[in-house]
Amino acid sequence: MLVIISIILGILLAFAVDWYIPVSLTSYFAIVILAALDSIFGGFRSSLEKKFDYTIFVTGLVGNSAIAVFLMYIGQRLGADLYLAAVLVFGTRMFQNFAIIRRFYIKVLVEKRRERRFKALREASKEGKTPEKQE
Amino acid sequence: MRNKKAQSAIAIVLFIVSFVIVIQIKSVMKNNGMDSTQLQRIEDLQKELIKEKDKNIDLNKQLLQANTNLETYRENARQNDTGSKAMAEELKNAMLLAGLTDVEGEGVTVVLKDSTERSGENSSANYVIHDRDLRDIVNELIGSGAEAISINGERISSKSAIRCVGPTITINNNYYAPPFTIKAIGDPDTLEAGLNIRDGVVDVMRAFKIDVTITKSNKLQIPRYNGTVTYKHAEEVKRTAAR
Repeated sequence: MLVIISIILGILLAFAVDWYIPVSLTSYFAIVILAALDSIFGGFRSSLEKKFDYTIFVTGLVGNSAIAVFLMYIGQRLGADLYLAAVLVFGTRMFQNFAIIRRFYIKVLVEKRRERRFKALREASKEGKTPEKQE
Repeated sequence: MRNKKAQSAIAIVLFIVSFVIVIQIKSVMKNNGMDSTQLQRIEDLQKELIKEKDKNIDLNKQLLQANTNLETYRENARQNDTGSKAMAEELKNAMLLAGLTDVEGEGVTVVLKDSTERSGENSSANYVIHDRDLRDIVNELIGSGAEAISINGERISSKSAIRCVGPTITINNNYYAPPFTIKAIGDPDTLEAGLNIRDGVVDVMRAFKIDVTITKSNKLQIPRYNGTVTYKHAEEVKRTAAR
């Protein structure tokens, strides 16, 4: 819930202020956004696995962004698109993390359904009726 | 997402990220969806242009300073040495002839503007001012006895060229675009009459609806030629006493 509120707040605030990123920095901001999104997915996943560590999260966010920006800068100097390395890694990891998150929720959903069915069965047996409902 | 700490941390980062994403989208949209590298190139070129312009202004200032210094040296030389008075007079005349001094006097001002008429069947090239139009006018003015001529503040000297460079015209290697203001010092009536000869320069231009206005005035100021005059190939012919 907090997550959704923060997204909406961020969007609203961005529309409210009259800030623009200078042309020369737009590509850097794009790569930083990607790094941040990767960190968000990673943090989400680790919190689902109950392994979330605040320090790892923050250092990962800052460090990944810094390396991505550095690669971008160096790549521009050298005339090679080194930022592709960052895009590739962040992109792949985002998909992997998403897959893990997806599986987690599917598992939760399946377990819930199973539990419900068990409960229904148990109640049915308590009342002395047969679980079969073919009638 | 049962972990409260994780949730708040992710929420903060998401807040920042969503903010930045929207700002980024706004910035990119403002740049008309142009490629960032293209824009970067434009920005670089603009910076370069500004730098070159600044340099140009600086150099012009230096030139002006040097010219004033030269002037004072000459003045000093004239005052110190009475024998060189005649030479100084000659130098003054030579400089006047070469267009190296600011001059003023009566004359005419001609303002040329591109035609407002639509080109119609004729080629649109007939309706804009060409380098040859300017040359014809300058030629006509000199022929009518003009003593000093400037176009948009560029003094026409013996070393001046008027050339077509794409949509602009260079005069003394500086770029100019319409409207052109031509000033000429000389007898105003003669100059005007020379320009207005039937089927002459101005008549032909007016036929294509090019806006030509000629005004006579009692006092015109014409600046000096700003470039340097150097002769690399032409040498003075030494007359031998035997002839």
